[in-house]
Amino acid sequence: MTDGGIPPGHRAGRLAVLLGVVLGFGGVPALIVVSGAGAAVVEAGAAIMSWSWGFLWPF
Amino acid sequence: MAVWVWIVLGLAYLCLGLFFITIPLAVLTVTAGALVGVGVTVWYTAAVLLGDERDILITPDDHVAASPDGPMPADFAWVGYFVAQVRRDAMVVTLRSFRWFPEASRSAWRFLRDRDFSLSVAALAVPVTVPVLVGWLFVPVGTAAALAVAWAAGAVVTGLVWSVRLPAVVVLGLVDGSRRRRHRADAACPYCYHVAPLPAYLCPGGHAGGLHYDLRRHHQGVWLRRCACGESLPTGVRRARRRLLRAYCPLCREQLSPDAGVATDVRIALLGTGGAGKTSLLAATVSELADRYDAEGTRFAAGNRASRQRLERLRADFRDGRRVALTDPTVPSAGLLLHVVRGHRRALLQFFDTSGDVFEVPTVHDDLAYVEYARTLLLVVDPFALETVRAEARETRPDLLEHAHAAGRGPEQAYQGVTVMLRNSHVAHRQRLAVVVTKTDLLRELKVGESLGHTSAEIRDWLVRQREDNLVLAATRDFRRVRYFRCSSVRGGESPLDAVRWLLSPEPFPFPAEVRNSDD
Repeated sequence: MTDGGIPPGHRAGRLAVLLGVVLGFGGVPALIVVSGAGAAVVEAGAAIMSWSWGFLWPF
Repeated sequence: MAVWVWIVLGLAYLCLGLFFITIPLAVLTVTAGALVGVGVTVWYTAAVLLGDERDILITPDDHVAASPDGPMPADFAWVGYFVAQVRRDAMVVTLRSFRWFPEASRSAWRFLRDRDFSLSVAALAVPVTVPVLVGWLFVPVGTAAALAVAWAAGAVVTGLVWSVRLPAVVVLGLVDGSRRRRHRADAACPYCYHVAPLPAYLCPGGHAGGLHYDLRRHHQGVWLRRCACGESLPTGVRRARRRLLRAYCPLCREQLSPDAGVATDVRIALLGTGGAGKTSLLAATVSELADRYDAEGTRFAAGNRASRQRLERLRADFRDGRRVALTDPTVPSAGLLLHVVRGHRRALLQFFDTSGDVFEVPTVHDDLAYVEYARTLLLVVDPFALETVRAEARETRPDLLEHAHAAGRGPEQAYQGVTVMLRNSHVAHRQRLAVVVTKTDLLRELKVGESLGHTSAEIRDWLVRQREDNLVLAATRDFRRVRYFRCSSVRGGESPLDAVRWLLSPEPFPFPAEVRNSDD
């Protein structure tokens, strides 16, 4: 009986979507790493920080 | 110190703070803010997809409420997850992922506003608060990015499911539909005469309002559907038949034969004036059919309780040579439903026999609605109602008129009463009409009866000679095919089965072998 509950088809469908979302969240970082976009972002952040903190170097 | 000195020191602090604190800190806070946004989305996604919230479900009640009013009520069953609920879930996750942010921002603002910060402390905190504020603003950016990923993943999964679901629905629907068309399987109600493409089925869950009006594969399931009560039901009438679900008329909700919508469904409407011999012809037909099916071992039985009693009475009357009782004109005609099973072939044969008096009262033509639904009509002509025959009988054999229980009116009256209705509904040109001259066992005792031939053309010409040319002309004009037969409707007399066989010859109906092989 599904009175007050979720039908089995809905449960299975939600698990399938959740699996897809998990794979999607896993896939995006993998895509970033594979494409080199992640490295570019990290390098940009490091460059900004070294640029600003670089002003301290003379001191 | 002078004011300008404070100004210079302040600007120097802000400049140094911008370079040494704000910008590097902003890199970190922006990253952190975006990650918080992603985390919030992941949390709500998991909470919705793994949770048991009833409030966000599209329930059968919602489906029924949202369905447009039609001739049939919407099914009280769950709509498939990937048809509607997946979109609802996505909207709920999206709304919840964003909805907390404005409220949290207002709370933070109220907290800060109520604190009594001095101007100097505020000025000193600027290099830190600015990157924190920027990082806070990046929380919804992270949420949006995570939602984009979640929506894309959900869309891919939904697309994959539909790429399987849609062809399955189309292919299985085509197979099911073509099989029903090939077998000419309908759900014809013997009570209200409505002919539906398929019956409604009662949920075996045993709850009120458990009729499912369209079990076909659609939004509520490809292979199975889930009733609101939780009962799992098959899709498609053949599997419903195998599961022994009870079939009902979707219009009047009377119970139908379990084979409704699966078996070949043929209907013959008997027309004729009162006393023409319709019921006698029916008794002869079903008795001869029963004998022949019994002889070849084919199952031939009544399709419901009322038909069982009526079939037994008709067979007994025919067997014993009793005169059948006149049909009560005040009782609406329920079809005589007969069930034939030969091997894998199943068929439902319905005869509609209404009192002839009904044909003479145009205002009660609602009782004749079955005539429009029947593909085949059988007009019973009582020769003793024809003026030429009556005249000869009065002169030479007045006892025959009494013995024949001659109809009071000619056949044209019944014919015109019905065909006016058929012309209005534009169905007559698709129907077949068999005109059957009855009581030939008595007719041949008159001279005029001796000239009645046996072929269709000879019988037609005989009717023309008896001044029924109007009837012959109108029948030829109104119906797609017309053929003329003769029968006596008595045991050992001329059989009416040739007329029935011709009427049903385009139908995939399993006739008894002996009849099927008879001359056309």
